[in-house]
Amino acid sequence: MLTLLKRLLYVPVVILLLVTATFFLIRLAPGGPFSAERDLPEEVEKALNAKFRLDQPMLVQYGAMLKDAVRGDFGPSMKHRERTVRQIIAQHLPPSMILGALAIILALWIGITVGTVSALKANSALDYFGMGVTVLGISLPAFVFGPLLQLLFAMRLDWLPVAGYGAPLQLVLPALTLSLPFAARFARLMRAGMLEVLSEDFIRTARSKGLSERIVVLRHAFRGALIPVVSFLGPAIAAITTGSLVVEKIFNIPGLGREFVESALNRDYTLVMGTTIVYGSFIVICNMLSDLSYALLDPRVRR
Amino acid sequence: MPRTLLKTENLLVRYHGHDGEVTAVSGVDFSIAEGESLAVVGESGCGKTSVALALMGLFPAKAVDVQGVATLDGRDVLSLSQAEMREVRGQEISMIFQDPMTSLNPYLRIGLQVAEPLIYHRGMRKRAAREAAAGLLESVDFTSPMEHLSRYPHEFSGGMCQRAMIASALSCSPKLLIADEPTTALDVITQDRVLRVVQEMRGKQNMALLLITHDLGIVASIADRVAIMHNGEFVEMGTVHEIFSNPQHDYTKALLAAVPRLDGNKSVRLASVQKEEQISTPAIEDEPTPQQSPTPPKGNSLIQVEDLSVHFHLKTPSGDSRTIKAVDRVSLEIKPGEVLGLVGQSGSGKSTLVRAILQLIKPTSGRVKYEGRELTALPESAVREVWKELQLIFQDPYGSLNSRMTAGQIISRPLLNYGITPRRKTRKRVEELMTTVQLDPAWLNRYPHEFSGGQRQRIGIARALACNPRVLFCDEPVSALDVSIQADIINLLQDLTEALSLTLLFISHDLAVVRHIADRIAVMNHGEIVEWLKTDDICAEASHPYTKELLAAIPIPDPTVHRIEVHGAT
Repeated sequence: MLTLLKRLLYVPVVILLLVTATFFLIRLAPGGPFSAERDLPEEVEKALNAKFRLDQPMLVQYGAMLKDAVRGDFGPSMKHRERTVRQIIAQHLPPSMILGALAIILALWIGITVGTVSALKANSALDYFGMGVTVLGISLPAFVFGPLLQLLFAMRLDWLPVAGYGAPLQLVLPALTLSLPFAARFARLMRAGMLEVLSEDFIRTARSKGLSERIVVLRHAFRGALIPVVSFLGPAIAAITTGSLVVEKIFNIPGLGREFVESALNRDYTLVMGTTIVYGSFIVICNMLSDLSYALLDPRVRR
Repeated sequence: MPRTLLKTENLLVRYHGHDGEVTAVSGVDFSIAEGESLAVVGESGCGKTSVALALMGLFPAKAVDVQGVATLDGRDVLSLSQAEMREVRGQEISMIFQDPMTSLNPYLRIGLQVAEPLIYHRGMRKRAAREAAAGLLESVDFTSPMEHLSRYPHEFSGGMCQRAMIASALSCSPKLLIADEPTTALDVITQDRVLRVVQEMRGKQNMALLLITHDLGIVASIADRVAIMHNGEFVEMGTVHEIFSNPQHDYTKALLAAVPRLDGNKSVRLASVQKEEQISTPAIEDEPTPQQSPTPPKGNSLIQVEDLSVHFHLKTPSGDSRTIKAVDRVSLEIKPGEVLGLVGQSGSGKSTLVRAILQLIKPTSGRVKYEGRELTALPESAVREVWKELQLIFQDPYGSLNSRMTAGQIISRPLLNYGITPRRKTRKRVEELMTTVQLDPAWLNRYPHEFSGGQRQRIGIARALACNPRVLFCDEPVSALDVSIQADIINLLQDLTEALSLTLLFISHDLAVVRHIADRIAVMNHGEIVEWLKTDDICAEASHPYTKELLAAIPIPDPTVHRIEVHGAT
């Protein structure tokens, strides 16, 4: 309990560091939000700068930004000036989150199943096949795997829609594409974890009690085998949510990934801050939950 | 005449390894009657555990070939299917293992682990099984068993874990309990308690016991019959009295003579069981030394420890801090040429004391003087120089050698660190050192895993001797070794002490070993030295209750003497 509180206290600190670094780094980068546009009349540019407080000293801007950010207000986007950053996030975050959550669930389900079966049938043809596929899964980039899936399931078999967002079926292919490399890593981690636990003394004890192999694996080995998987879960969630850009592009999903990357390219200072804070908090919290879930699995780390 | 419970005929176990087949058990025949206890005694690697695993059907079918017949109550257990065997395991034959800490599942509560056989074999509901488990824990000496049910193994001590294992193994009242080195990982007082529990439960359930051990003391105190196992075969079998009073086979005789006894004659060398450990050129013993009682140490003390304390501050989960007094106001002196023994249970602070003397950990208070120089006041660089003369030998010959360095590299490390010998002469010096500890210098380029446990400990000793130390601190140097190898290492240390006029601080939890080698013995408990023993007849001398408890708990390798009689022991 104490650890949980302590960890929770770190969250705002980490996010503040992240926000500070992002704020100054994006301003250090060459160019500004209005430099890409056609030469603006001097007064217009001045007016814009004044509107976004860009004419004030950096520290003043920083202070003002922090004050607003705490209230959840990031101001209007510098590029799409008719919309606020909040509106953009509110519109594009849900598709990304739904896609990411589906991909994680798929990755865990596939990974744990394949890994466990591979471990139980270690060094058999099935194991070699499963592990071979995982190598493929890790090395095949989304822009290859995604179009392949589209070709097969949408174009040829016509089972699923090619792309788009709105209908539940439209999520299947992108979620599968996004989950593949993570399912592969989870499978490998699960296999290694399971093999290690199965060689422990306490597994021999469990067998000596006359328990069935199913109970030995599910009750006595599963939890311990899951620990490497869980330790990768935090980074995996982070990578899946921030790495969805390519998949969002391929399947034409209006996710936040695209806004995130474009905001940085456009030097859209306000949108960069907004998306960074959203992603940052999410990743920090996911990592914390992943660490804490150790304690759920392993009583020895409960303090 | 009680009915025969288990009878094996030509039991054979072969492993299919990477380099061909290895025969672990080559055709053994034995029988156990109902309620009887048979001890299988032998060194590590002799195949005794393989016998147990074969009977339990716990070998993976692919990698291990088990042949022969093992009839349990008229049924050959070796020919049963996996499903049938599962019914035998835990119900008819149960097993407990060597290391209780790793043999319990760290992820599951004790209650479930104890109750599991009842749930699966007897179809008990979880609730009822939980209550039964509490009863079982109570019968293996747990006070407030209900409370312990929801604990996890890491919250238990080794002895508690082993007793919980016993409770689980006996939950379905099996007819045979196989105990594979059940107390090797425990200290004597805990061992005594665990064995008592086993004996009590056997009495209650009329259960037979197949005890696998290398400890002849335990054998003498609880076995009815004994089988001596060597290289996969039973070389001798008989009642416990026959084996101890009239051993027939040379190996049995050697094994019996290799164990230091509390009532043994200290000046007689321990017998060496096997010859292959040594090379032909005994470097030191010009004549097999009928050891002189050591010249009484004279002169000033070499090491003086005054009021040394090491306290650790721990933060408990609830936030308050607790002080652990690992070493508490210890004073002692070591005279040149003497062998000072230090005994105590695990956790009594022996190792911490040594580390504090050597300044490997900073003492909380107190002073350590070496030849009048105060180590506690010296800067680190100066202490480093003093370490040349004060060297350590460690307990675990497997963990304490770097597995990525060759024996030669390990032994030469101190030479290079201290620049003792010029580089080009290093090799010669290493070969010399290897000869000193009776290792073949031709093995210079072998890695630790290519050596046996005893040979590794010799490498550790050679490394410690490299910079010509004056004092050797031996921290449980033989407790990880088999009795036979233990005898060789003790003999070697004694020879070296004499030949190189070394001073020894010898730590062990085994009072018989310490008594054999040491001139004086300090008994340590809870960080304090509670008693000094100065004579050979320590049983008569012991006066502190802890020393008496320790003595009373030691099983004596002689079936006619069950426990050392200690005046006033409870």
